[in-house]
Amino acid sequence: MRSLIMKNLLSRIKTRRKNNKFIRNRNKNILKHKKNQNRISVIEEEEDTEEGFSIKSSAPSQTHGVQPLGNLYLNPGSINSRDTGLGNLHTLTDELVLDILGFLDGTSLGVLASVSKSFYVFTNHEPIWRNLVLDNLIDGFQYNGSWKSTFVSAYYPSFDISSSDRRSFKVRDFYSDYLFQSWLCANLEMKPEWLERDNIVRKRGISVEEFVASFEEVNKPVLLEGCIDNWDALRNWDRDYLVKLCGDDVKFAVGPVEMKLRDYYRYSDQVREERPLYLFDPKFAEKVPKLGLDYEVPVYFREDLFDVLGNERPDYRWIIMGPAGSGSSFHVDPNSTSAWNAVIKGSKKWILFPPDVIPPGVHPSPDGAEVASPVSIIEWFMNFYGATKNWKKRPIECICKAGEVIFVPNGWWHLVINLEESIAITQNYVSRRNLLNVLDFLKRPNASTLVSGTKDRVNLHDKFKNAIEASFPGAIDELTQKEEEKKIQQRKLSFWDSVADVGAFKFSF
Amino acid sequence: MAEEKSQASSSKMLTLKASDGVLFEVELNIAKEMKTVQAYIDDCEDIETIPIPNVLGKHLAIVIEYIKKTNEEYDAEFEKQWNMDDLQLLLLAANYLNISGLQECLCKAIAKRIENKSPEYVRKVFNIENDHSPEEEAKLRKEYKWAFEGVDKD
Repeated sequence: MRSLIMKNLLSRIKTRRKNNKFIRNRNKNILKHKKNQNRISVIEEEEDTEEGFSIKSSAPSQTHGVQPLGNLYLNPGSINSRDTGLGNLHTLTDELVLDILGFLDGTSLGVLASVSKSFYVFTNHEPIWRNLVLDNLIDGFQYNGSWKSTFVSAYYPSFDISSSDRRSFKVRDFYSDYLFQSWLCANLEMKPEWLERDNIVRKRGISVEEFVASFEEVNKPVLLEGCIDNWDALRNWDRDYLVKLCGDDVKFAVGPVEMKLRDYYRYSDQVREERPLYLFDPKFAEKVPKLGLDYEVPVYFREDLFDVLGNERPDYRWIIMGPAGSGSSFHVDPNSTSAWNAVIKGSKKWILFPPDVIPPGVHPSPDGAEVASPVSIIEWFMNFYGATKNWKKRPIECICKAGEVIFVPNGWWHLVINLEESIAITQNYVSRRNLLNVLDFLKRPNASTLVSGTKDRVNLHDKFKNAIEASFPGAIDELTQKEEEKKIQQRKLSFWDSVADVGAFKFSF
Repeated sequence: MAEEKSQASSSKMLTLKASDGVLFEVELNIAKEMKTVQAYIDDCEDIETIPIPNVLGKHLAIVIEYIKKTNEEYDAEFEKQWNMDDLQLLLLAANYLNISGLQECLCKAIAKRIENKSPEYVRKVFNIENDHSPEEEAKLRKEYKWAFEGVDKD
């Protein structure tokens, strides 16, 4: 296990839209002015110091020999083959060079590798090939060791991919923070100290009334043990069972593509990247009904008012499968709903912040439609997790293991990372406790961009309201009245009595 | 159809000062398209002249014109007027000023100029000295045999 010392990872930012689509896999460079302070130096040492971290033992030796810029400064007199190999382009940042290359097709990229060693390194940047695969092979792909190989073997099947041995191609004196960091984040492991804190409330065998009063009503997360012990899924769901059950005719949603389960496992077994794709399908029970029968909604969450819309309800349940390292960076669930997440296999690390506390390193736009946050989950941990230790506004954290269910109240920020290959079921729901919230959210003028999971965004509010009135006449008025009385009687404090940041994304109550 | 940015929303004018001292008076809503400038305004409300130290007057003029006139048609013709050096400098300007539409337009433009070209051509365009050894280059041609069919003659 090798250790490396690093001062501070550059914070690369990505921006995501509220409906969970990433804008582009690029760096906005908001912290550009900090670049000079954050030179990374790599010194290989034996011990794991406090700032050190561990690289996966299976990591390939640094791809092509890219070194961080800090090393260049330690080597006076050395030239950077990155610059000489780019010629006039060297004045552009790494991200801009990659942005340009991102507009080329596979063939052009292949040709450009011969231009110079620098071009070789840049054109081999895996995320570029990943985008090419995901943009073009939307009906699924067979992962072949790397995104580039996957692309080439799909488009040039007669070309013998194995004849090329890319690992033997090393470049000397190539220094680039962005490319080095990209490799680094793809190969880092979670540090044990990031997994130590577990301060969530755990309950086993409580009544529905107690759950509602102690957690749902007051919008507090809780980890529920023992409430899915009867699920067939817990007993049955392993790879063999699932592959056999789903067969080769069903395709599941994996990011922007749909693929067979068998092909997904092929990818997740081989992949090593910053943000591994995970399988996340809202129609899994429609595609394979037996999957829907192998589990049932835990008793605490059975009041789900979007039910009244029947088939027209927004997406509400997902199966999630992903390898270690896959997960979701900080976000708030759509439509102001609450959620539960049950782990069937594997384990997940959760970090949660209440609605009025924006996690460090996260920047939502004023209307909440976009959220900018670090590129990878590991990067967030490296740059920002430490800040939460001494903060008054400490997050709620836990590791959720197989058989456990976490309740994520509406409006709460959360980050999840799979610590090992995991399978989970998650559902979003609306109960009477947050019905008014949801109606308010759907009524918003920018509902069409914020509301997700349905094709009929603008009318959802009216449809939902009318359907509720039809099934539960007077319910909305009753709840509204109760709310008014509550407001008059209590002054609502935020969870830690904190002052909201300027531009904070606040759910109104 | 040319789309001029609406002038109704704000008549407040701002002065931008390029690196070579050239001054540009622009409407607030034009300046706001440059997110870097927007951030500057957010931080210091009463500012009248904003320094843009990284961009020459000649390029700032082009950028401002782009913001005023951008649409699909304009963008398609826009990039044709500039040589590679200008494209790069404009890209650096767009990146610094954080104008995503222009940045994307320019990246696409540069990409278009090296698409389907031979390595020799690309080296000439950017003044690059080939640092692959002959053996390495032969190895690469083999590794990338699939890519080399259908490249432009130049």
